[in-house]
Amino acid sequence: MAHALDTPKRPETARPSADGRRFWSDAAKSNLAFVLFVLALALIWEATARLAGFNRLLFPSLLTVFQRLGSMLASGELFNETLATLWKMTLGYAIGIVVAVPLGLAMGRSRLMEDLFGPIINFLLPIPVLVLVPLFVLWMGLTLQAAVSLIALASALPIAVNTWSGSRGIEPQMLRVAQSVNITGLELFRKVLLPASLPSIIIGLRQGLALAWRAAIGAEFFAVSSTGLGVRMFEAKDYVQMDVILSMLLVIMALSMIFDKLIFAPLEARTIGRWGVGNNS
Amino acid sequence: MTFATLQASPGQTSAATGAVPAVLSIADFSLWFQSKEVLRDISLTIPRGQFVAIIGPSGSGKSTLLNAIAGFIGPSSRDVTMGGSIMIGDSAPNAHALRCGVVFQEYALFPWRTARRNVEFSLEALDVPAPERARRSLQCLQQVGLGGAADLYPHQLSGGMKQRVAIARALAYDPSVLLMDEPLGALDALTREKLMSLIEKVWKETQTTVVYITHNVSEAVFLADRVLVLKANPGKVVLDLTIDLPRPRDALAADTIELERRLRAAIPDVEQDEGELR
Repeated sequence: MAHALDTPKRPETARPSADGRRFWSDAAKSNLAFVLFVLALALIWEATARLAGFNRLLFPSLLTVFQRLGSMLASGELFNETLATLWKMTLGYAIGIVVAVPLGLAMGRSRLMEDLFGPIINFLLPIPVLVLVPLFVLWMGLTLQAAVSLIALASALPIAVNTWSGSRGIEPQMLRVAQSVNITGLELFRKVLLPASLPSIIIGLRQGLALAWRAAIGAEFFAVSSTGLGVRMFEAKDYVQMDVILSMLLVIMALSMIFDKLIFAPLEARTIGRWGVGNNS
Repeated sequence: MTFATLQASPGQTSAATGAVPAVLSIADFSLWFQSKEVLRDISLTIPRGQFVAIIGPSGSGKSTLLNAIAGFIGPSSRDVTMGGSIMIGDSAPNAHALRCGVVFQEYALFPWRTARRNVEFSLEALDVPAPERARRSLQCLQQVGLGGAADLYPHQLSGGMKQRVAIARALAYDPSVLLMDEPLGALDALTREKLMSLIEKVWKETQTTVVYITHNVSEAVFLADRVLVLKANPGKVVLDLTIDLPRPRDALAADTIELERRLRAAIPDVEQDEGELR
């Protein structure tokens, strides 16, 4: 790599506004292309619904879907169902993080911890968490605890695995610098192990959230809970309310996108982006 | 002008330095990794303020020796057996009073901390209060000529600047011994020359004791008061040479070059040693 001897490298990630002089930034172009693509898909759907002669009940016009969404929003029903789902997800995800991050860090730094937990986690990882629904329901009944436990387990696995691989891969000399100044124990975890593993932890958090969604909706499908987006969706199936099902789907997709933009994008920008240690750059 | 005193037997030079107290004493130190003998009977006394360079081919255990001095490898390390002793001041490595600063070839900066906060890492370990930390870290950065880059992150710095931050971080700890493991190994020739002068300047200002591992003879001749040459398989001191050329040294002066030539001749054949490694 050739660079000037003593001049700092231009901070590439630090100032994304550098290309602000152009009328359309690259990011704006990508966003515009995506919006146009989604609009085109919506138009195709709408044209098919109106012109192809399918059963309106099974292939409703987008207008009816949005009308249904509007009325559910106005009645407060949508709010309650969304809140119920998000509540159990938040609880489960939080428990997953609190357990899995320290566990993963410890596994990366301690041979014993790795030997004890590694095989179990690798064994559970490919299994869909929903196979444990009968077990959890018999133990805890159709309760919030059962749903939260499923979500916690589902999100903990990828978080633990990624944190583990992150903390295993820490440059040994960084640890030696800490050792040379006598930084050990909890202080070492907080000041070195955690930030050094953060790029991997963030990958784990993303995967964990995706699996938390699946576990939450799945648990609601299996009637572990009695309220939530999944519950309402599954009920709608019995009454052939395709517009309700599609509304719920739209809400779930929108929420995932919002989480990404509101939580992960800023988290990455403020940490690995600023530090220049990106996951894929 | 006075030339180096060539001494074939190691460990004797310190006796001549008399009154200056030893910062680092290594006595009959041997180290095995599994059943392989890595270092044999290393005896070495380094008085306060001395700049000691250790050179040798790959497999001569010079980095292992540095790791043992720093306490990174100890009697409890896996697959390691040790004999003899290493003392820093009055304590063994890893004792609480130990103060070693370390500088590695690959910098080992913390990418999540700015230059200043990297230097502060050493001070946090000493429980220095925050305002004092900020002041001293900036002072250390200024000492290596990086006062203006205090708030940049490592990825915004060139290799030479990164290594200067690493040196400032080690100095902030006010170490009894500054251990440098091929600190210029990853840098281009021009940056290397600049940093050599900087290391000499900083060493003079702080009057610290330096153990400097390198495989570059010019670095050793330019910087060191004393050069130890190790041979490989097992690592063993074959030459302990005091260099009293006046400073600052001129890398192109005739006596410097003559010394380099003699030192090169003393270093065992690298090719042959690497062949034996397997």
